[in-house]
Amino acid sequence: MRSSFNAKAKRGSAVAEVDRGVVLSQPIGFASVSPLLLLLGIFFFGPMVALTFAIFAGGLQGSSGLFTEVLTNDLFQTVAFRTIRISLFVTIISVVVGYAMAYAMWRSPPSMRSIALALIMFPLFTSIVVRTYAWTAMFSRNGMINTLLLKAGLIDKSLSMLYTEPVVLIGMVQVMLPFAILPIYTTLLGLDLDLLRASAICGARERQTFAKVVLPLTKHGAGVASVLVFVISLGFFITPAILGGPQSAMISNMISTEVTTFYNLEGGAVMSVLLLIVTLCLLFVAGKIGSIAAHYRK
Amino acid sequence: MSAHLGSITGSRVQMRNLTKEYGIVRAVDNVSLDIEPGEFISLLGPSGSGKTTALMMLAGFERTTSGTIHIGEQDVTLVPPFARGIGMVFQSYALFPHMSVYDNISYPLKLRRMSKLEIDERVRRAMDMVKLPPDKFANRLPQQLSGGQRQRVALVRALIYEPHVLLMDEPMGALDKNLREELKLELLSLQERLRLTIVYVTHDQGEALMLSNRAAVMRDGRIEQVANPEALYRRPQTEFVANFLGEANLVPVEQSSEREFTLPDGQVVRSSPDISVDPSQSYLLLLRPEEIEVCAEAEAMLRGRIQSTVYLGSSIRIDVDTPIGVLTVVAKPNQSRRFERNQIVGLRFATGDAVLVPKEARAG
Amino acid sequence: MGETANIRRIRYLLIALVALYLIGPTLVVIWLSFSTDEVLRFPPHLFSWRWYEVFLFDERWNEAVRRSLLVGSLATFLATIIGSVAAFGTARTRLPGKQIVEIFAIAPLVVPPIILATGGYSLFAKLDMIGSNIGLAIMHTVLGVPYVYLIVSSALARTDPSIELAALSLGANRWRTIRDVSIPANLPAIITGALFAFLISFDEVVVTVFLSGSLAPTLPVRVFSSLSLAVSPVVAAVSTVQIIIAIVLMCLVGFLQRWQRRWAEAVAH
Ligand SMILES: Nc1ncnc2c1ncn2[C@@H]1O[C@H](COP(=O)(O)OP(=O)(O)OP(=O)(O)O)[C@@H](O)[C@H]1O
Ligand SMILES: [Mg+2]
Repeated sequence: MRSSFNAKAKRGSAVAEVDRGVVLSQPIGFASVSPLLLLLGIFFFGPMVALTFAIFAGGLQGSSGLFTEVLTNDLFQTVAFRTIRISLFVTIISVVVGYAMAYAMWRSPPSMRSIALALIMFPLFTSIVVRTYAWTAMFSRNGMINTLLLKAGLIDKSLSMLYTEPVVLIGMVQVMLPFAILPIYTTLLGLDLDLLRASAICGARERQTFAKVVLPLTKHGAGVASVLVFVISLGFFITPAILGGPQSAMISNMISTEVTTFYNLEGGAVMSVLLLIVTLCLLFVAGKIGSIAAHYRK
Repeated sequence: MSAHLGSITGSRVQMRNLTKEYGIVRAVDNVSLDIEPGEFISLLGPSGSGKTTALMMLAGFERTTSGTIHIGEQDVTLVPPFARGIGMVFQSYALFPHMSVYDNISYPLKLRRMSKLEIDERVRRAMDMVKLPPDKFANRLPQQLSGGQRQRVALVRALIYEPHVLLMDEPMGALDKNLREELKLELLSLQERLRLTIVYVTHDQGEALMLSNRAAVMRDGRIEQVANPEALYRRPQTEFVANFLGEANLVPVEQSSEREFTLPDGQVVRSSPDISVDPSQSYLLLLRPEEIEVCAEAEAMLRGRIQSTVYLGSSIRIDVDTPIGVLTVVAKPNQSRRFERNQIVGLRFATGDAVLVPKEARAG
Repeated sequence: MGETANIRRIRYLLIALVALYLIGPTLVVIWLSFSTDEVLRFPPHLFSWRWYEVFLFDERWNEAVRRSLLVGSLATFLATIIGSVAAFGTARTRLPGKQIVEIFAIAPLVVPPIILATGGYSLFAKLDMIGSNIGLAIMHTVLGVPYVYLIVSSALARTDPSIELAALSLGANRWRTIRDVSIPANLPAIITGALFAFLISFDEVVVTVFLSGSLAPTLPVRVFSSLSLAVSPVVAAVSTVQIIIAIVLMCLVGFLQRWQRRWAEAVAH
């Protein structure tokens, strides 16, 4: 009787190790995260390793040759510079407009807030291809904008607006704006409304309260949003491909052309690795800034 | 939960040298406690004293670092929680949000493979007992209940399968004062009928004194004293317990003979014979506010000046500056006597049967 | 709070303009989809279902839809299981290195898709898996799994772990606790994660172009490649269908989130 009970107890403890808030044992924990680690290890990090292999297949000499070749290439320089320029503009516009929008939503009554929130979420659910197509319908030669301008008599011949940088900007900002609004709005929601009341009691006008209280407390959220928008912008493919054409191609488009049109896998790999390095460095710096800011605020 | 449930008696619960360490933190430090079958015992202590940790080890949710736990005759130290036959009420109630009240209560019976018919009968009877009529509440979700109703559902769910031991972790923490009083009375009558072993964690000394047969006062992971409520209040064994259970005036005394102690003003009190005294230790005389009487100056042992008064409704709390220190006194107000600041009053208290507690050595 | 009517007017104007910018063009697409014209023009001549008929009865579009659904369901299935299980593993065990798992899980969200596309291309070329539905589904799983993981983790962080302890104390063993409590109490979040995983796969272009080529495209890839050719209004019809799916999914997600939050609140008072 006694011994059989002990056996049961032992078996129980083999799967037990239940702790406060802890339902599963450590081995089961490892088992449960391993499919994820395996999947990402092979099919997310694997591709990056494959890229590195493609570059270093020709030995160290050959690979450094590849890098100098790409870095000194005129077209690459133009595209890289354009990518940075467009991403910078997208970031500035998105964060400024996004901040204004988030602030406007925050100061609105709850019903207005939820309507605005739904309107912001909607594009997140619609495919980027569909949204980009919508912009071509707006900007093409016989598109809506040209038709309206012609009807209004502002122009007498339809303009060719597609395949220009401003149109790419318009399309990209539309995609990135929700990514800027949402983190800033969340930071604003975290603000204690009593702070505003305190500021108003002290005699501050809305503008002063904004400058002296709201902005300093949400700067950090805006900073995080900026890095996020910039990093994602760097990697844009679909919008510049459709709205930009070859004249306004960004780095992802160039990589794609190198690999699929010119079968230059090594060149594409080098550019991909450069893009990856820049992305990771930016995220690392952002993470550092984030933790420094968090530290500073304590 | 009915006539047929009334016959249950709880199991004996024994903790032997129980220790729990989290890294370098000793949350529970060498705790031993024997809980009698059918006893209502409280674990009482300030925040962070290790009450929840001790309870979690009893339930099987925390592994012990060392020590053993017995429930009934069995060593359950290594038995997982679901095989311990305990019931537990959580501070957050932990009702399953995706199940109706009925499903919540019937869940443990389903686990025990009871027939649908029997489950239905038991659940309905139990719900009636705690004043949650099944026709009104059975299909409600937890989020459609008030705090008090949730608390009852949690209690019924923990009791319906007739466990021998019920663990409760600050079950009243989230309720308002009136509801608490009501539920305390219900819990007492329930315990009277069921007579199961209840381990009740709280930091509210009033709750512990009212509900339990005995209470264990915990501090920094250790048990300071285990005793019945009256003994804890009247005869605390440490300065900490004296202070934790209600208000205490502690007056430093010098030992003058075996059972005689001198107050700072030279008067002498006699300790009760059952208190053993260590000559190398300094002692404090415990005077509960209600043990000190305000009297005419002629009959007084002490005279003092009133520092402050606080009106409490049925009584007045007075701080009096006396030669033996500032004493807090609780007096009944009456027409003929008024207390005012700076007034000189006389005080007296019994000098035989004095309660002495060892003075704590304070670091620094 | 002492703001003038003027400021309020500006605020609402701003919200309206941003909203118009964000969804206006998309709504124009719906209008275009009912055009009777052969080519895109403004304003379109209305009203016909002809482009929907083309979409419905053209074998090549049907093929693309079937492929999208196949790859999408497979990717959703894998991402939901792998992501939820990992989320449970990190939330409900004492696991060292949880941060590493977290970084792993979030990485696919921030790395440019073209890198995964070219890298995946060279990897899959070696494995001889270019054009394989399974391979594509796996890559879509990689892209969808972060959403499942993040959504389920944050739901788990909000639900009170003591409901699981309660089940254990009531006599349920670990597996019953997971089956009867952990999973159902977090089901809305798991379904939300699955919907996102499906949406991601159903929208993915960059990686898919590289791994499937133009031979057997998915729906979005087909839309994408038809955009670089002459733009026929059939794309507007296809887009409208996708927009309607998006609206349905968005309402569903909103509903599921409210449901999950109510449960979380029920436990935390
Ligand atoms: N998982 C853990 N890791 C490290 N330390 C812990 C852990 N859980 C509890 N502790 C520590 O153990 C000590 C006892 O905690 P416990 O929760 O048992 O206190 P308690 O008496 O229940 O307090 P309260 O009244 O606040 O609930 C505390 O110092 C706490 O910080
Ligand atoms: Mg506690």
